[in-house]
Amino acid sequence: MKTTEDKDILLINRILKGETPAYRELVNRHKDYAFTLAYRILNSREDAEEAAQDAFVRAFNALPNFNRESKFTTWFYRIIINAALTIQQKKKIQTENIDNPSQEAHLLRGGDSTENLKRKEQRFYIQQALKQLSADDVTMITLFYLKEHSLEEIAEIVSIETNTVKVKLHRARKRLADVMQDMLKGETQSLL
Amino acid sequence: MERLSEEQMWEVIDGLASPEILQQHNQLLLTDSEYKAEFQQYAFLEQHLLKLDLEVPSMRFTENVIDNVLQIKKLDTKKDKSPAIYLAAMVMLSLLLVKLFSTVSTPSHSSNTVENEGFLSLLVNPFLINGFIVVNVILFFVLLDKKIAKPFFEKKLK
Repeated sequence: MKTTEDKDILLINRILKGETPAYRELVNRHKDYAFTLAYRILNSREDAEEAAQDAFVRAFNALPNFNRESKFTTWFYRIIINAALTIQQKKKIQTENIDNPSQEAHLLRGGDSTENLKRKEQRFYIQQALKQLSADDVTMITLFYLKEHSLEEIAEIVSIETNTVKVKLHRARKRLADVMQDMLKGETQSLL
Repeated sequence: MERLSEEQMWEVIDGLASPEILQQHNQLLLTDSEYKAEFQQYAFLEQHLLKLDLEVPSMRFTENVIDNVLQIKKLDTKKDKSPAIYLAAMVMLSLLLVKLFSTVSTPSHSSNTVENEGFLSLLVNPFLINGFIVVNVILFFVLLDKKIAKPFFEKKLK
């Protein structure tokens, strides 16, 4: 049985032989993750779309230089992060500070089952809290949780030591917990 | 009992804690309500981070990427054409120069000057010039066929 990495390598071989449509398949396989990573860093769907598309185009051009010793995703996520950070620097994005997130959360509470409502609210607060973190913190959390990358893989993606990743991840989670506590104040218990 | 540091608490959550730390953690959960509340807060966060969904880009995302890639490939092909045009121009120019040179140098050849008796007289002989012209003409037609005629008819057939 072929692993995800094997499938990526097969597609890359076809692309390098001049079969451009194979790139469509590779894009479809990784677009959601690429977009999510960019979105978490940029907090704007429009900018995230631009960053992710730019990353895919950059990756296509750099594909002949792809070193097959590492996974395609490890190499590619580095390109996405760089593309997102470039756009962030270029546009000097201001994080959307919502003065009172609980007001918006109340808007979510209309005609929904209790369980669904709870889940929606939880997601909403986590996403709001993530928006208040730095790009570095969000990158660590997204890489660790969305595809459950190992600390070693994250270290390779962001080009730092594994131990530094561990420390950065702890700090990012701590800051996220603090932001959430601050946002929710007394509401934490109701969400538990 | 001594409390675990935040880093150790995260190690417990990630399943990376040593058996000693785990034992200490279990004890603290039973005896220290403040510790229990703090740990529950982190565990709550962990639980929800694991449930974070992937965002979905627009429907045209893949098409936009492929369009951009094809556009870049097209530009590269255009760039590739310029050396061919340059080469063809060089061939034409050298043809003209050779013809011009042979015309100009023919009368002086008969005057037996020192220059014409040297290296140039070896080059300027009808056989070599005609051979050179034939090679250049062939090269020119090969380039014309490869870079202009072939792409033109391929495009027409599509």
